[in-house]
Amino acid sequence: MKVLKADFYDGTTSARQEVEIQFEPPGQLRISGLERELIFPLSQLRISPRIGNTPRSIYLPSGAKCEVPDNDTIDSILERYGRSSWQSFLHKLESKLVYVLLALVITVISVWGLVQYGVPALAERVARSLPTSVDEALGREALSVLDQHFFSPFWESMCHSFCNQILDDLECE
Amino acid sequence: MINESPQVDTKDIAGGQHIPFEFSGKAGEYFKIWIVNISLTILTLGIYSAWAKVRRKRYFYGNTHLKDSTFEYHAQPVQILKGRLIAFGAFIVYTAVNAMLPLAGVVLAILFVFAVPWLVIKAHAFNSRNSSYRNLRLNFKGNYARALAVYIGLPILSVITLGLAYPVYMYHRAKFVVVNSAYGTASFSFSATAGAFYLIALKAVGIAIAAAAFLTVLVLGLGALPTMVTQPATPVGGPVALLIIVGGILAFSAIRAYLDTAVANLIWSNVRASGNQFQSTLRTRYMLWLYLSNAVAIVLSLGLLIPWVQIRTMRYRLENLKLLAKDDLDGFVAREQEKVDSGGEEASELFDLDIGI
Repeated sequence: MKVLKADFYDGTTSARQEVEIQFEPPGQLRISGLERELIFPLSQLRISPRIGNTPRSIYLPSGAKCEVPDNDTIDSILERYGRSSWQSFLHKLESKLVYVLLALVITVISVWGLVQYGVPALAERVARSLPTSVDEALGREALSVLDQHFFSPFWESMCHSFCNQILDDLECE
Repeated sequence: MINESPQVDTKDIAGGQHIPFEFSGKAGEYFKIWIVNISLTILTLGIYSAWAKVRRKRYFYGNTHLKDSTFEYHAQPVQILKGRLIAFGAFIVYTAVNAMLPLAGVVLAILFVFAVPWLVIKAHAFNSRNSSYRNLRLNFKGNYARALAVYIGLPILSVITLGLAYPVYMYHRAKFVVVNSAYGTASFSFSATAGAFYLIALKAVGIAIAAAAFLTVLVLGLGALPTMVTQPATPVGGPVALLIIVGGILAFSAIRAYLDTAVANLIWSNVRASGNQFQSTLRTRYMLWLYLSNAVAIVLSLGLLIPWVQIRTMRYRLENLKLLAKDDLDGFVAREQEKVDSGGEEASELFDLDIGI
């Protein structure tokens, strides 16, 4: 079986150790390059699902992890030993052009349908369900409520600073 | 490239190394993940959004490199879905109560204000503890009273002082996030001063005044003002209105770009952990170009270029972030793990408070 390069992190310190890993029958993982060789059956490992070409994490029972860049080999091994998670199906959707185009069509139709039919239908239903008097009163009421609560300088600046703070937190996290 | 940012004091990191952050995300690859995320979220009436969020964050974290290692996001979609449902339920309850008993609605709204600091702490904790680098988690621990003072008290003070206290608020907010964060057992420290935030605010105001003066002169030069004065009811002519609108948008974008750039550089360049210091060297001019070109790209592509925009923005930000490290970053030690439920994070998300890298 193919020998893969990987980075080993023991989970107690941030030290990085370069190791070589190898999957071998009857379904175990051998890690060499550390003080002593480690062998685990696949059933004891947790392997992160594939997302694009980001490195895969193989978690050992001790809490240590191996970071492996070679996604294709990991996928073929998981498939061979019947340990593919249902999320490998998601990766298939995200990598095959046909599915991506299908997703694009679904999205475009949904958004178009929402704008074309959903919004007017909703507006009409709301409008029809209200008697004229309520409609007028509501308009006045809504405006005065908006005036009082949202257009007052206090709320405006509160909302503004609140939104800004969140936006900034996004960036400095 | 070294020492581009004046705020950084690199003296005590002499003998160390400059380690750049790198970002390897690709727009084409991310587009596929993004569009599948959206379509599955539509098809499942929103339920898939929890999985979508995890896949998006795993993609961005996994493509962020620092010294041969990548970051990893660990949150479980089911955990996020649960929190999201709780938040949604709370929102429904609030709407219903508000419709039937407006007074009770007001009470709930006041309670919510007091819940905000708690939500902020929870959101940071959830996000930090689900983020790792080299198999060591980040951590966040914040004090409620302190958060109340920072996130509610200071904004109110800013309003009362007509904005004069706003830089103080920016300073304390950044400080609250940084000093309560930790990587393994190493906590972060923050060495920026409130004065530096005031300087940035002052410059922003300066840019605003300069832009307003420039636009006024331009409009005056075009002879628009005499007509406006003599016939105040007449709407301003087409070209002049266009000039004011375009000029206003440009000025606003420039101020926004300056503020974002200066604040990000100031904050990051004053963050330290165990003798390692970050340095951010973003440039206002390039940020402005990014903002304007991003906006044009999104509008012209009807939103389909959003993934490209996200990738290029993240790349620029990360390529301008480096760590002035004293050693190989091997010396950080793990702390005991604590579990955080996702209620706080997702409740805050419903009110548009997502927190990224």
